[in-house]
Amino acid sequence: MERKIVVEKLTGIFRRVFNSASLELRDDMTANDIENWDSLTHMILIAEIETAFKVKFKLKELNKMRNVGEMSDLLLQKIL
Amino acid sequence: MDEYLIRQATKDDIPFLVDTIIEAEKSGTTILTYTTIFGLSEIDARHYITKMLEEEIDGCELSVSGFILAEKEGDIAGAVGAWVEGSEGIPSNILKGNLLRCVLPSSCLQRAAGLNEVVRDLHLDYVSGTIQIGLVYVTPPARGKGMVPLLINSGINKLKAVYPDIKEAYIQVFGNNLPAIRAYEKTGFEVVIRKTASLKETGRFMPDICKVLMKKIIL
Repeated sequence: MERKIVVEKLTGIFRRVFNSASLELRDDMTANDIENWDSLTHMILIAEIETAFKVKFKLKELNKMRNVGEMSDLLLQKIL
Repeated sequence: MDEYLIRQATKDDIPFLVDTIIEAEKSGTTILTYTTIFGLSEIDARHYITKMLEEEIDGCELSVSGFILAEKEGDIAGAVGAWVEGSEGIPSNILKGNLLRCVLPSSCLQRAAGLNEVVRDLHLDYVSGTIQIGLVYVTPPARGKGMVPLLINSGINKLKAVYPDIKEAYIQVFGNNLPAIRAYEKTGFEVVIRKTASLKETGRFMPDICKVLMKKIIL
């Protein structure tokens, strides 16, 4: 899967979880940039991503992701 | 108060830290959000909180290293958790969310997903680069002895030694917990925000329908 397709798929998940149809992802985007990105929403977001991409993150992997770009890169690694 | 030993918590203190988290979350009521939001019994909540603490993730409210304890003759009298928001390069909410995702069973997630609006209803953001006082608990026999200021100031001083440029500390508390609010005022905090729930059902899931944000300027 190409990175562009990963980002498109991620965008759909983010829009659904954060209930924001116009949300556009950027690689440098963090939890500080999106309203309501709290601990429970993050837990739901990760679960949705794991289901959609059929992957399972380890805690150490999750704690290394500092922004959306790093999330996309890790997903690309895991699904290759 | 000088007869109390103040020290950083270790993994051996996890059982007391679990008590601290459970009692602080209840905010003087019988409502535990691990039960109302995640559907866990209190026994199961203790089990999973223990597992999350055992992961030893720094920089959030479930970090063993972030807790300071007061001890006297081998008995722990109280604890406070404190961290610098974003000190690990990631917001504490994200670190906690990662722990919840990896430790709690999937049934908890399904239940919580349906209650996300309720949780958001009283959510207050943590300010990046400031000291956050997370969970505070004093055992009943040790109350009324100035333990809260002792613990909180010890936590602030410990972080200030590492991050000397920090000028603000914050604490969040449910509005029903007037003894805690008074104790925090005596510690130098003042109320800066009162957020009241906008949803009718929030009161069924949270200890109170009001969340208070308090701030202290650190010299």
